[in-house]
Amino acid sequence: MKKNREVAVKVDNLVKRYKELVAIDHLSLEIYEGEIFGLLGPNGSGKSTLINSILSLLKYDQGEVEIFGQKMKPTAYGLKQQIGLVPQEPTVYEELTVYGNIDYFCGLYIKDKAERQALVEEAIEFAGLNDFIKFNPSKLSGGLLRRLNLACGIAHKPKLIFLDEPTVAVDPQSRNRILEGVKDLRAQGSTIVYTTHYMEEVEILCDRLSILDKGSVLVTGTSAEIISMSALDENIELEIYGMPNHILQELNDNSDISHMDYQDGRLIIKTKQGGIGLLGILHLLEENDLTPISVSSKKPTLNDVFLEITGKELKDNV
Amino acid sequence: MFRHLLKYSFKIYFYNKANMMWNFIFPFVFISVFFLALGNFSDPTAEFSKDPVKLAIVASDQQEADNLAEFLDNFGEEGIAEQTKSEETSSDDVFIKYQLTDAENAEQMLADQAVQAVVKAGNPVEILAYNDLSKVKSSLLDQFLESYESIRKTTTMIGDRYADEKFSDLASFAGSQLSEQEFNAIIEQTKMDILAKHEETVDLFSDESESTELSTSPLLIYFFACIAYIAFYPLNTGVTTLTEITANQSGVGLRNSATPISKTKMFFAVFIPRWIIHCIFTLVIYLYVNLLGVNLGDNYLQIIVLLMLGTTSAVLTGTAIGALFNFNTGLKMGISIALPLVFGFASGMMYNGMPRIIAQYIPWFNKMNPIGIISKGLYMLYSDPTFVRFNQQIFNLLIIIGIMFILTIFGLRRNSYESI
Repeated sequence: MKKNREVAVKVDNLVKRYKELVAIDHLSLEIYEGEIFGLLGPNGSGKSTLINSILSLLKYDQGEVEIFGQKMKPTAYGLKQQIGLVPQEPTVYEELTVYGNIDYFCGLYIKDKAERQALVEEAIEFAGLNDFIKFNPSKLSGGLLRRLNLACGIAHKPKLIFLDEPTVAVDPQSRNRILEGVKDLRAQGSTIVYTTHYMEEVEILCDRLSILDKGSVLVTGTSAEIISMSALDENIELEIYGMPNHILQELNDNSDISHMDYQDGRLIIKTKQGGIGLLGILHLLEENDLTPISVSSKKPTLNDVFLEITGKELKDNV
Repeated sequence: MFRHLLKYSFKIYFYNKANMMWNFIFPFVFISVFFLALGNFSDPTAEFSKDPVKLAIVASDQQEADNLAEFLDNFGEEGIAEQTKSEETSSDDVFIKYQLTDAENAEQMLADQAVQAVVKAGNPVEILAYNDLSKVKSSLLDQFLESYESIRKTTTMIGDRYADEKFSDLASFAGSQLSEQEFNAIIEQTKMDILAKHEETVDLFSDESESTELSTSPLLIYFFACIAYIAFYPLNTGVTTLTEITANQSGVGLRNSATPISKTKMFFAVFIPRWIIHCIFTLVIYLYVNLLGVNLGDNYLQIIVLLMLGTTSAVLTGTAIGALFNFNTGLKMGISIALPLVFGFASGMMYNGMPRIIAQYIPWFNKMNPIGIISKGLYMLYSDPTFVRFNQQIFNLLIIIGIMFILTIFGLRRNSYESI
């Protein structure tokens, strides 16, 4: 399926240095048209630098960036016309109303007044800001402000949208609204590059994702692919009494099982992904007429994989 | 799209409460406080007229003494007695009281503090000695003597011309031989020579006494420096203009930079409305100053041009700072507040002796100090009979404007967004 899709963003061998510090280290990436692509990485991993490089806001040392098959550069105004940016911090004018802000930013892309008015109203509707159009940003709650920030970035209906942590510090309702909005944008045909620290958002939203660290892409794929690629075990816990020794021995000898412990009727097993698994164990017990009182299984999450890949030390200290 | 940007640039600037406070209300308050604190701006010669300067005039040539006395009669009167005609009538036109005397007596009068200065009427006219002479009085006395000297030189020059080849021409055309047209041509040529001579004298004066010319009238210097400071005050507007369009300076700068509008176009769209607003505002301040009854002189057009150029230089200095330096906006704003204060201080806004001190130790600084240039321009308009030195200040401002504009464009094109 991927091979049939056009590449929206192609980053080839990108290098960005700040004196001795390599912020982007020979990074290559392809983002397909119409997908929501997640960029994950700890603080300082190079996500913002990558986005700024892609947008030609930042001069890089080496490599190439192509958007919709054309080389991206600061003067590629035709390409910029098709791009929307929603920065991490709400970046709107305090002096303008909600309507004024959306109209101002939309007007930088859309010349025709009537067309712009229609788009602005659509963006207001999209972000659920109808009741607040005459409000100044300082009067808005955090969630509304984030939605205004989003509306300002997407009002001109861009084909490619960069969303930089759009749900930070918002309440669940606003967060849900934003996530639903992002899905709608994808449904309308936009390609979305989504950076976040919330793994569950990535798992819900993103078709594919890359995990970045120290300026390099560590892994790219769907959530499932990335989880399955990891060496993390599935944790299985059963409550079962009177386990015969030969069954315990059989389990112990299974090469898929990396750890096993049985005490006081509690059997704890760590098994490799794609190995014997919970079903295999239940099948073995059934064959021996054993029935567990309770069963639980915890597969590795994207968060586990992320921590595994990027390391568990505090990245802000780096 | 440009109109869209212009419209919103106006809106954003006007609706900004901090701008309203600091760029529009504060200057009014500043001028008003300055006016109330120092007073007497409307008549900087008030001190002089209430207490005329008393002179002893000595001369080896009686004709010279009579000539000078006749000239000074236009601004005062003979006699230094306690009770004189002017004091009886409370005339405001008596700036000078003089006594024709000999050198010995003059010295005694000065020692007795009966007079404040001894002037020698000769070629050239000069102040031989003085005591207890304030700078305001000194300034106006200089002005009178300079004017007298100019007239004396003119008379001498006409005499010299007749004594040279022109005299023989006239002689040959004596009686009915000299036509009116030819006579007028000679007079015209003489006038041109006088003007050239006068400008030469002015230039010499400028070169010789650059260090003291602005130290002569404290009230005027304070006041002109204050007006100049207000004209240069919108430096911070230039800085904020760049902040709004530069990706590494603000969030909106980042967002604006990602749009399909070129940086130069964006700059002009944001800059032009603010520049116009501040030029108009400077004009409003000038009108306000006039409403307060302050007399800046009758050269309204020149004053407006000078103040507009001053404001332009301020906004462009701000944009150059914004475009050239990558340090944070807070620091830039600090500089935009501090710089006018430093320039104002150097121009005599807080201590009137500063221009002289700076001219003595770092003379180049006065030539690149826009507030000093504006202040000096106002002073020249007020005091000079010609626009020669005023034009020089205009030229200096134009140079500063040109340099700041080039630096801004250079900085804009050179700048790239830096973030990690």
